Amino acid sequence: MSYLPVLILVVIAIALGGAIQILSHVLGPKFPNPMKNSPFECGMPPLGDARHRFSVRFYLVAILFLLFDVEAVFFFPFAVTFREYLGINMFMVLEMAVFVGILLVGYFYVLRKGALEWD
Amino acid sequence: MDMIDVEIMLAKVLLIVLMVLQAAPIMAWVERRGAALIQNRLGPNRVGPLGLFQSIADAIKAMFKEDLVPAHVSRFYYLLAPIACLIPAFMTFAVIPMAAPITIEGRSIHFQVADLNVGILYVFAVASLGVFGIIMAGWSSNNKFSLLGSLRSCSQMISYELSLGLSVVALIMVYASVHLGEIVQGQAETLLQLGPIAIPKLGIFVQPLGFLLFLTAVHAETNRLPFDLPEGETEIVAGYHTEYGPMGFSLFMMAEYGNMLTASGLLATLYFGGWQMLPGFAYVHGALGLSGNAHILAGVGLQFLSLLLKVIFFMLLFVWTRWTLPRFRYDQVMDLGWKVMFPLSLVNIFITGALIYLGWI
Amino acid sequence: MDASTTIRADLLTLTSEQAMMLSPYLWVFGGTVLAMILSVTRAIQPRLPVFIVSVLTALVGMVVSLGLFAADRVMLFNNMMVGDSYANFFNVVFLASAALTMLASFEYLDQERLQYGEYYLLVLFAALGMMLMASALDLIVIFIALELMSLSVYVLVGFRRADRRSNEAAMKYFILGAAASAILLYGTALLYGATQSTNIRDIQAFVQSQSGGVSIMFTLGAWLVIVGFLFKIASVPFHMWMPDVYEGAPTPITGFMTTGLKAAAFATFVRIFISTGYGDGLPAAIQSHMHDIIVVCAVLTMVIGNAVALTQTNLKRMLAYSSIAHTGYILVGMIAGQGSEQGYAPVVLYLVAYAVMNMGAFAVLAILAARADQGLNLRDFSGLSSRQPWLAFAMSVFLLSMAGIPPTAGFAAKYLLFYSAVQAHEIGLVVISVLCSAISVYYYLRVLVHMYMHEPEEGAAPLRPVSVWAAAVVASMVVLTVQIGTLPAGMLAAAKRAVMSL
Repeated sequence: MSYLPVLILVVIAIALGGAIQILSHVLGPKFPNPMKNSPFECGMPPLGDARHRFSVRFYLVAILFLLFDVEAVFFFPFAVTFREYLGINMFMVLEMAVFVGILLVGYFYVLRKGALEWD
Repeated sequence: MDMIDVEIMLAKVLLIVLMVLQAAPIMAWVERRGAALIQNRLGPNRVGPLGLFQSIADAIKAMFKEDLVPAHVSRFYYLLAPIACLIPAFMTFAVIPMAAPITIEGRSIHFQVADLNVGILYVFAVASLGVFGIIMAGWSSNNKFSLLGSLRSCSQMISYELSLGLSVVALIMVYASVHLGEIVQGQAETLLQLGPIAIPKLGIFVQPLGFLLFLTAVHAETNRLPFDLPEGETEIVAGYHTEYGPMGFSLFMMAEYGNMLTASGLLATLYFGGWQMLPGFAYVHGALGLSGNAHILAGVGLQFLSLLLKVIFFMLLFVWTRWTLPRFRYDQVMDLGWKVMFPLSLVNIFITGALIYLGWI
Repeated sequence: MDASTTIRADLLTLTSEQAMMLSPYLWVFGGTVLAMILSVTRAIQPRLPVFIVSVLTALVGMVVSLGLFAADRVMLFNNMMVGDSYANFFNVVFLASAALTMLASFEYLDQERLQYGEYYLLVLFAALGMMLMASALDLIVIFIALELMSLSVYVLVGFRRADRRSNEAAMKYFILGAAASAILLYGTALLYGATQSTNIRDIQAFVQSQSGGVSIMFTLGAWLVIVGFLFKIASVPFHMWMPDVYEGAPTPITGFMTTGLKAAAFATFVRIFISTGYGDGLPAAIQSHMHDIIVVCAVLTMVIGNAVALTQTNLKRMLAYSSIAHTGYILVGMIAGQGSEQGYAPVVLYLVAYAVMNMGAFAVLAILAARADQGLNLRDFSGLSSRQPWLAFAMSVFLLSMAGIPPTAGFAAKYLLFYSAVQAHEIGLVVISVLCSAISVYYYLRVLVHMYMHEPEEGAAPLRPVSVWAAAVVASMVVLTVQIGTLPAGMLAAAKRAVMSL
């Protein structure tokens, strides 16, 4: 139930975005021109289209993000209960230290393998 | 849930919508005047007093311009992209508490649109959806600059999302909650008593490093200078909105300012006490001499005003940064994100853990 | 939502027994991490140190597991894992197979110009995944361990990056393996829905407590989980990936897959099998249901595996099909396990014997393989006895063992396996198995004929120099094959002890 306002906001955002685009489509004048239909490349005639292969680095960043973000997500439940566990014993902290150690080794490995270098 | 609850809820939704909608024209004006101020020139000053109506004039002009959907784009995604950007911008502000919850005539009212117990996690979850709009825009435009811009934007956003999340982890460790209302309440506690002055346990005091990391990451997340590579004019024209007409572009701008508003709101809430009253406001509240419901409502008003002032401060900070710092090179952006911010945010977690263990915070 | 109600203080400690039981896992993990750091340091040349650290990690881990073999059962991590003799028995098998694989690979990698530290890391991670798999009691943990193992092996299969077949094999394996993992996970979800638990002991207890039979959801979930494992052990009709993968993978990795991977999949399969459908005290309806499924799979696996192996001329491919056939024999043992006095001990013994002879055979192949794993066809083996008499002899021992001819490990294992099937009154199955076994002798002996009775081919590629490490692997496997074959009692006793702790 507490998500109902969120849903309303989504609906409003969609309606607003749609309405603005439709309105501007209706209100604006139309001056068709073949040059307007070509991709913008600083006034040059476009060379081919944009469906090209791009640098694999972007893919690598996405993969590394997945890895590290999943690890980062594990921190949240730990962070919330940190004080409470600290009141019992240090076991939780040790476990987390191991976890961070794994994370750091992975990070070190990735760093040394040059996966984060942009040249 | 009776009619009054529904009305309250709708009023809150309306407030959010108005805030996000107003953010774009007002900030556009602030940004242009601010730029002029910093660069020692005049800026827009013809339409209305101080050029205040410039944005409205721009909006009307944009509305009546030709709205061109070029033939080479993937039409569906091209039109969907601005909306996909707008949705998270509208959604994220919903969880930021704007005043302390009150009880009037047996009815408790929360001053946040959606009182979610996942709080900050919701913000992260929804904010990362913004990437989809940008990727859609870049891909569907079928333009090399658009594609490059969206790729850059995407990898930049996800890179800084890591540090963003990790810097907040340390904060959560301090307040032991992900619920934004509880975090704000936790900041009212006293950190240090210096004679008559009680220093509150504000996020900025217990998490100075975390604040800097968060501030930087938020700049990158909103694609603001010095991280505005996705639209670096000198390199790739206008990035992912190269192929968009006036209103498509305006929608992207609206989303960007909406995100900025949320980012400022988060900065104020997490690190500057959110709706906790600014110094002196409590005195004003007492001096008004009201009682009963009026007293409570006046408190709410002052709290909201405090939050608003803090948000405005951060909005101005964004503008200030934009016109002060030059743009990074792309490899510098990635290096900063992965090789500086990420290790630093881990270090920050360690320091925080140690301080909590020692019982200092 | 109150967090304090969910904290269980008993989970926040580790008793000394638990720490002891965890030590092999921690050791292997620590060694892997150390090797990982070494592989990217710039101060030293990582080639030898990574190899040595990795092999030592596996060997010491093996010794530690061996030391824990006789220890009492210890439950770990809120009953999600168990440290018992069964787990430690298999830990020894996995770590030995990992160590032997690495030893057999060192020279091979040098010659293929693939000497990357990641190779050893991935072997170790795969071994760690296998260890966790064999000791896991929770379907989620099993899934994670399975993925740790599988993902490492996917990469290893495609390790010869420049080779088309290797890439193809890795891709096929990855896609089909991912599908199988998804099936397994879906089955897990259904089992969870039907029994409110992902712990296989809890699931067993739940089923035993149901007097009115089990729901369709449970049957379907058990089905899917078992199908996922039938895929991993490459039983017909889920065997399609295996020949291509075995052929495309680097030869030592093929050896690793036939030994470690197969043993791990079976070790876990046995654990799951006896608790979700075939164990003591489970309703007869499920038991006969599972029985029928496995019988059909076993017969198909034996017949098809052997029949197709007859026509293969590439040795790696032939051994792949023979591996399918052996899967069939082991499935026969799984069916018989409940009804015979030996229980699942013959299955375990067979896995060990099979691992030993395959490890040796693939080590020989790794030595003989020309660049890019060429030259492993039957005619390349012509006259091997005159060119490399010792290798030819070792290969004969392994092939005879696979065919089940005394006095080798294969004979002893097969004998005990079929004997237990007879005890369980599965006479029909035994007849089929023996017939299939007889057929298999043809294609194993054909290799022997080529090695000993044919003249060397004209222009045969010159052989690589035999590396010390690989030779040591082959020699020790020959000894072990003969040892288990002549004196199986010791190994059988160990297998029994392992199975008793289930």
